Amino acid sequence: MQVSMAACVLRILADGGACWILAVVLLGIVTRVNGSRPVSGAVMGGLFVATFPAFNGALALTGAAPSWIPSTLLQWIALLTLYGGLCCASVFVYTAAGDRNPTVVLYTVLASGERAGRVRGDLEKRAGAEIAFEQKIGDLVESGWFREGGDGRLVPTRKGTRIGGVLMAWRRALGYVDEDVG
Amino acid sequence: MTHAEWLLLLSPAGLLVSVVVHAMLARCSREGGLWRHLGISLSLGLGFMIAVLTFSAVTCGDVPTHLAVLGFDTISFLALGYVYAEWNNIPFTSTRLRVLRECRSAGGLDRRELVRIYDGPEVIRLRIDRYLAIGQLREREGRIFVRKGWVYWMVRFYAVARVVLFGKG
Repeated sequence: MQVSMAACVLRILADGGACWILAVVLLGIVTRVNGSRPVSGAVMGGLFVATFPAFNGALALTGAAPSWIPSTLLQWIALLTLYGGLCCASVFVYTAAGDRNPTVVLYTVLASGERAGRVRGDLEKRAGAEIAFEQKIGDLVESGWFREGGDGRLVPTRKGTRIGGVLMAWRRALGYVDEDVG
Repeated sequence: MTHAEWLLLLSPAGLLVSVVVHAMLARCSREGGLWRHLGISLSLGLGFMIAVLTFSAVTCGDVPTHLAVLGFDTISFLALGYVYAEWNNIPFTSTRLRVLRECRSAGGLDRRELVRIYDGPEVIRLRIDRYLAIGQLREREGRIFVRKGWVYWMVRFYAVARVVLFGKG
């Protein structure tokens, strides 16, 4: 049966969307198995990367190809762009939705103050305590950005220096100074 | 390879337009700050994509295919645009980058020294200043109030995502 180009595009969109939804559901399951704690970037990346060939391979095995999976190189590139964009966006949402995101904490504390708002000093103190800053420092060591030397000093690792260097270089390229980061 | 297949790759081209416009705006003007610049540049990127598709639909005449491509490219562009916006947000608000900067400029700090310079209330203070400056929070008679702007709706969205992904309210 001849499939129109419009139907072909919509099917590729459905393929990418379904594959992404499956990956997000799997991420949710892995997180629950991990005791509702955020999983590492490597686990998240591995899951997103593995889901794509597994899903499209399964589609091909069921005989759905070629009408439901791309049939040309350009279609594959377009599908990968869509899926890659959705997965990268999910990584940012996952990180922000995790524990102790300062903006989320700030708005949550403000919302608990109802219509009267909050006095600035009280807000800084309450929300500042909620984000558990000392625990955040522990997370930075755990994630491999810093190591704690014998004298208790935090020293940036090669990973922290490299990733941080790229991000700060981008900031400087846009013409911003380093002082007000954070 | 058909003409429509090439049009499926318009979203990275639209993002490239956004990046160029954003870089130019950031270098030329500080007015409105990061989020205003991102809003303008991403809108122009999306506009570029829609303009190319409209031109193509008018010259080729295959409207159903162009509408399908528009749906595909728009979803793809919104995902890429969100990633680009977050990529820009990190160097401005990241706690770990601030800690990295403090540790490097002091030649290493222990936890107690670090907390004296930069701690939870300081993280919140910087955010309050930032959101007041761009009108996402408002201050009246010494009290801070939430405004239902885009940050408010992002936080609501993250709250839903938190329930879906982490099973926590």
